[in-house]
Amino acid sequence: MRSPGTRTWCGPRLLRLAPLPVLCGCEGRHSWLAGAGAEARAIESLFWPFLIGSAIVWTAVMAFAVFAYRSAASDKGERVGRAVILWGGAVVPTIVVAMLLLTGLLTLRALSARSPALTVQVDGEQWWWRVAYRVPGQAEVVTANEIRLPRGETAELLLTSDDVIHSLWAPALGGKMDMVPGRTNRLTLTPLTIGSWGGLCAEYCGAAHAQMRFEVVVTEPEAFRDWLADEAMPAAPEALSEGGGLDAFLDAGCGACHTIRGTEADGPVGPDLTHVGGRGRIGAGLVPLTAANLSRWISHTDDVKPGVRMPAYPDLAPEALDRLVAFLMALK
Amino acid sequence: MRIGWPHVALGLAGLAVVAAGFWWFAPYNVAASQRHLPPVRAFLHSYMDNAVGRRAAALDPPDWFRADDPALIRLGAAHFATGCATCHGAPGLPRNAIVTAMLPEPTLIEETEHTTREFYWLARHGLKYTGMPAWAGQGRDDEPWAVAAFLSRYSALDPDSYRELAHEGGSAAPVGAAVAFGGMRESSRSTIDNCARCHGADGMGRDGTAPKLAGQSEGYLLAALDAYAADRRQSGFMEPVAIALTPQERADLARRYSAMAADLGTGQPGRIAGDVLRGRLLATHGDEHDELPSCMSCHGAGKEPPGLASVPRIAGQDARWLVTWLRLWRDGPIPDGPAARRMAAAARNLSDRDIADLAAFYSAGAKTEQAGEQTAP
Repeated sequence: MRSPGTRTWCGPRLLRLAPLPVLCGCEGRHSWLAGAGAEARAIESLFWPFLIGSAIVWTAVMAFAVFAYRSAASDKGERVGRAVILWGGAVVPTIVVAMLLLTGLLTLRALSARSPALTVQVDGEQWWWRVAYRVPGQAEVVTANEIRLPRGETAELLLTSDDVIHSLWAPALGGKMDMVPGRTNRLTLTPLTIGSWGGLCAEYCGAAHAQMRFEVVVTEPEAFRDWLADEAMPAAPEALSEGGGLDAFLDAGCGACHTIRGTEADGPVGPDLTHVGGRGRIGAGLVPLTAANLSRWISHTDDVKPGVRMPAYPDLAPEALDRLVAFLMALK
Repeated sequence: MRIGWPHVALGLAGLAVVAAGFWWFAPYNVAASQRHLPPVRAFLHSYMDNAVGRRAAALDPPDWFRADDPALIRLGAAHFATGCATCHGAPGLPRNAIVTAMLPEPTLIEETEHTTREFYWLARHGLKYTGMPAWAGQGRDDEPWAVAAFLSRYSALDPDSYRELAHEGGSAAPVGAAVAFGGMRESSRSTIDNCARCHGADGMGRDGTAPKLAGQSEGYLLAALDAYAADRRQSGFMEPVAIALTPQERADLARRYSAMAADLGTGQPGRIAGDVLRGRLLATHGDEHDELPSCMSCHGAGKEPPGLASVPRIAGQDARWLVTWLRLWRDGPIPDGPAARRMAAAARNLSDRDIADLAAFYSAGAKTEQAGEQTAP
């Protein structure tokens, strides 16, 4: 039994939790008010005037309502009232809404009118993201669950899906945009602030929807070009030659689903692992990439991400698992 | 006098008292030594006929089923010898007196008139209040069709042709069922014969209803046998056989078959023609859109053995077995265990066409080997 003292505190404690959902939205990595991208800022520059305007309209309507409620009926009041209803209820709102629509459409056009310096295809899969950089005159550079973008340059994201409808949203940078099977949707992002920004799937897509996340890493353009050149390379030779890790990978059949360029592993189903060691997170943005997390991911995949498509390897010999993890961590 | 609600209620209460008295004093004897009263027997029997007939008539045999399929008839005969002959007898095989003292007495197949569907239904579901069990492999709706095919052929068999079908004319034949019933072990010699009935004496299979075991890893064979014995892998054919073996016998069998020649050669083609080239492409590279992993990454290419001991060789297996198991991996029942869950994940999105193509490719055996070295077109 609970003591009465505990019970008295129960209510206030729960009340203190009430603003939590609101506060979560303010966390910088996922906040669309962070101003990390030109598109997010454009939306934000609409948001504040709209918010202030709405507040003024709401206050005026409430003031009128109170005034009308308190005044006594009279012939003159009746005439004025009709005029107020006509102008305030029909004409002015029509003009205001039309202006809002116009502003919105102009903003939308401005958002999509930027000419992109970079094209990235992002393919939504249950429950991760296949990312392919299209560089003219060069083979596609394929990676997963992490979108790197250069600061100050507009990137065009071509959004597709192979299974169900997903929606790509990196709130701090802009968006969101649905990924519809059979269609290619276009989203432009112009990051302005260096950093690692969080992204997520914003359309319910099945069991692990809530764990379908990604990172947008914004770097200086020079650093981005270096990274892209590295990413286009096959797997690091020192990782392939070392400690029988590649053999452990191939023996366990990992290559059935995963590709490591430069080896015979050419599986098309899961994320490309050629440079997995250079990514910040695993499990589609779920947990930080550490040897311990990776080991748990391989041996108990479904515990880390319930519903995940990748089957677990709890029966892998411990030393084979260790070699495998060390190998994957070395794939920088 | 008008009959009203009070009379009805009283009547019902009276009936309930009589029923409770019947239940309590149990005047109808359940002893098997006491035959049913003729009207009771007639009612029970005709009710069973109706119940079986109605349900069997609603069955749809699978597309691969042919009642005159010799492989199915042989498989059904082999299983009949293992699981059914003890009670139902067999041509030239007298029944144990213990069995004939049952009530109802197990039917002699030659005295029944059932359609193939009814035979299937009876083998699949069994009968309540009799000794007739349901199919031992839970969810294996495919297996009892073999028994149905055999039973449809039963009345035409004489003792010799039955022995030939069920035991390959082996000498252990007539003893088998009746003696084993008393809990006596068959000799280990006949254990090997038992396996050979379906898997071949050389481990190379017989007619595609059972896999080739030669050259599979000892670990894989033992794990499969143990899983059958522990009801973690479903099969009405294999479970009764595996559970009758001691752990030592299972280990010996696994070692024996794993030591046989590893080259599975070429498998028998299936009934459904598949596209070998498309199968090779799928097996080698998988498919991104359908989320199909490549088969070879785990099962090895050609003569190269699989990387993990828990994975079987499949190149050179018979198409029939490949199709049966690929469908099981896709539709269930899925065996228990991490390796089985991985295979189920891999087979999740296979279409019937994919399965036919993969079976065509893998049963082509020698071509499989070349395919491992070639790159896809």
